[in-house]
Amino acid sequence: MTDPLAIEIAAWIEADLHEEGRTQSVAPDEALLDGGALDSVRLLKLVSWLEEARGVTIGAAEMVPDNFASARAIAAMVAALKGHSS
Amino acid sequence: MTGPARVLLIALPGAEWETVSALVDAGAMPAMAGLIERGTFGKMTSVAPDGTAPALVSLITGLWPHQHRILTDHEGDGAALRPVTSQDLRGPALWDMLTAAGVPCQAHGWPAAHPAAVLSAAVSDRFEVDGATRDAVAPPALAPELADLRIGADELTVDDLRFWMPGADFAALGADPRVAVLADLVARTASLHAAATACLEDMPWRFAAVAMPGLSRISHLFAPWHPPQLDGVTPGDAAAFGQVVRAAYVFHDMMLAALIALAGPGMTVIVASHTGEALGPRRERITGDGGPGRFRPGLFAMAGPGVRRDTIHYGASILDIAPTVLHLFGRPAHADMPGRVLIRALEGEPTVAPRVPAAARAPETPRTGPLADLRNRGDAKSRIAAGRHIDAIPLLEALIRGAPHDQSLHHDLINCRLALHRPDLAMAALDRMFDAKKRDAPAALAQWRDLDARGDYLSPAEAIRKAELWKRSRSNLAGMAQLRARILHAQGASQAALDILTPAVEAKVNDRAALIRLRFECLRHLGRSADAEAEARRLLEVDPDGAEAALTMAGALYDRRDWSGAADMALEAVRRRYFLPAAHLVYGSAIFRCGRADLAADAIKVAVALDAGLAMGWARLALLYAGPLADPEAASDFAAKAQALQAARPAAELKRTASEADR
Repeated sequence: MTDPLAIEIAAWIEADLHEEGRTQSVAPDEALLDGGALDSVRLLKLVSWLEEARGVTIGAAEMVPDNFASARAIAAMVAALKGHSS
Repeated sequence: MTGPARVLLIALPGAEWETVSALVDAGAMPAMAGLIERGTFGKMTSVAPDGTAPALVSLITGLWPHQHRILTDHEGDGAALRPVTSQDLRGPALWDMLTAAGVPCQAHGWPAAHPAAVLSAAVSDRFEVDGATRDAVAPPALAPELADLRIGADELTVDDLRFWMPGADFAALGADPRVAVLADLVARTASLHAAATACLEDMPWRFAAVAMPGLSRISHLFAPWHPPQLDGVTPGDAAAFGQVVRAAYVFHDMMLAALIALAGPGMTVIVASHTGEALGPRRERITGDGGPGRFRPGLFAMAGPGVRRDTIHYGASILDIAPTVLHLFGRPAHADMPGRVLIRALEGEPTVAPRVPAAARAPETPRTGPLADLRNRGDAKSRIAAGRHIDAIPLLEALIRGAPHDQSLHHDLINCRLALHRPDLAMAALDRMFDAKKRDAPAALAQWRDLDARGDYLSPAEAIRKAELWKRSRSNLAGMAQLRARILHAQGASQAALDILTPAVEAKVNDRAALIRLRFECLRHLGRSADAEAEARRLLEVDPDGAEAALTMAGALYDRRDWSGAADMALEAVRRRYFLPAAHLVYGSAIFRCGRADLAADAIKVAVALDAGLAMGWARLALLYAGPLADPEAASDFAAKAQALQAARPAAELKRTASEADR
């Protein structure tokens, strides 16, 4: 079963791509870093959004490619951060 | 030692080893070819910051930029900028030291030497600028004669410029500004050379220093059109400007020939450049962000009485030139000069005079002009390059307070913390760096979008700002991961570091060689010697000419107890870059295992001379002198130094940490 947060993250990336005039669907398990869906600018925007919308703090320790490989991986990272903070 | 009749030191900034070698082989630089054949030739490393003024002043003083205080090419007086002058300099130039010793000296075209020094003859770097002859010539009586030698760009004809642009259709170029820029640079270069030549002909000297900055300026501006043709260069531009850089090398060789001929036989000639302008396929970076591909190592060539003939010299630094020139005159170097006499470039086994104390340098007035930050950055970079990390930290912290978004400052601070064995503080600095990035990026992106919406209607300053804003709005995920892994390894968490350094990270990092070196270090720390050696071999494939790659392989061979192999590779690392204390240390340790305690002591002494904070080096010297070299007194001294370092380092850092907490 797909994590709802992973679906939400994929939707956020799709919307952000759309803002740039790119029509691209993003699946929760899709590789984000290789395909260019999550470039170096969008990455920071996503981090800001996650911090604001999900109340987590993403630090330098989380900034590794594995954590941003797919929407599902990002959701898992957020869940882990929330688990740490609760 | 009896000094030679004369030494002529020529600075040729911008001259690059591979380009010079190719032109020498092609017979296009006969003066340089003659020097190489009659003497010693080698690559030369620079200082940081490596702008022309800081580096050439290091060349002529033998001091790091943070010591001589020429940290930028320009200085600010209020809002206006001016080239650096002798008033900005804190430290004696070779001509000051030699004049004091009774040697008649001349100095021409050198940065930070205006007003012209009171020497036998001097022409300052302002001479080439119209109307600046008042203080630009010494003695002033020479000024009228030299002013007549100055050539204006408008005096150059199309026929003169055909030497530089043989394939140009001048009618089609019309008023192309590049032609005017080239004519101006050629006129300035020729004017300075004519004045220097006249002074060398007519006025006495035994030491002369001549700077020829034209090659660097012309190469830098015209490199984009130099063959092989880069993407985006039109055939017309390639035909018009494609030969300018080659012509600049040839033209400067002709000027070299004139200077060498004037000096005559029995004289030592040294030609030195601190950096060479990159002309290969990587030079596209010149037109981009001025990144690391822009410059290559400089070179030096030296010929004359007592200089080895037809020899390649490895590991020279521009800091070595001043002590070497003093040695040629039988004078001692000052104790605060970090360079050494290039004795391997000299015949026989010359005895180097003991160092003498340096005179106290006048204090510097605090700077507040528009370049104050740039100066402080240069100051920090110089101290880092000199191994004075602890002195760079307060400068970097102040700079970060003023520009928290500047990632390069955070990087430098993290590197300083790591160099001082404080990975905990490095990790805190990394976290601060990312926090600053997160705060800054949204605003930077918004400003970038505003500029982007204006399309191509941007001034050059706005275009630069736009590029900077784009950089500030991005995050380098792989780079962050690599940095974190480095810190984790320094904390002893090598497996955690390896877990981060995945193929995904390696695929994206800017410096793949650095990542492989880090993997090597982690594996070595974990005792996985075979895996570490495999990484060392991979590194040699990725960076076949790198000094660090050779040093890494030396470490792998040392671990395998292949002592002679380790010594050979460490020596290769030293040849590639002399200022690599760890390479001297590994060589010393390996050669000791080969039964050469004497060579080991020499090598490790070099290591600690290059980095006095190398506690391991002092400790190994203590062991050597307590054992095979049988000198208990020396052993005791070395052991005391090692212990003092081990004891003092944490204390100094703890004190600083406490003061940071107070603040």
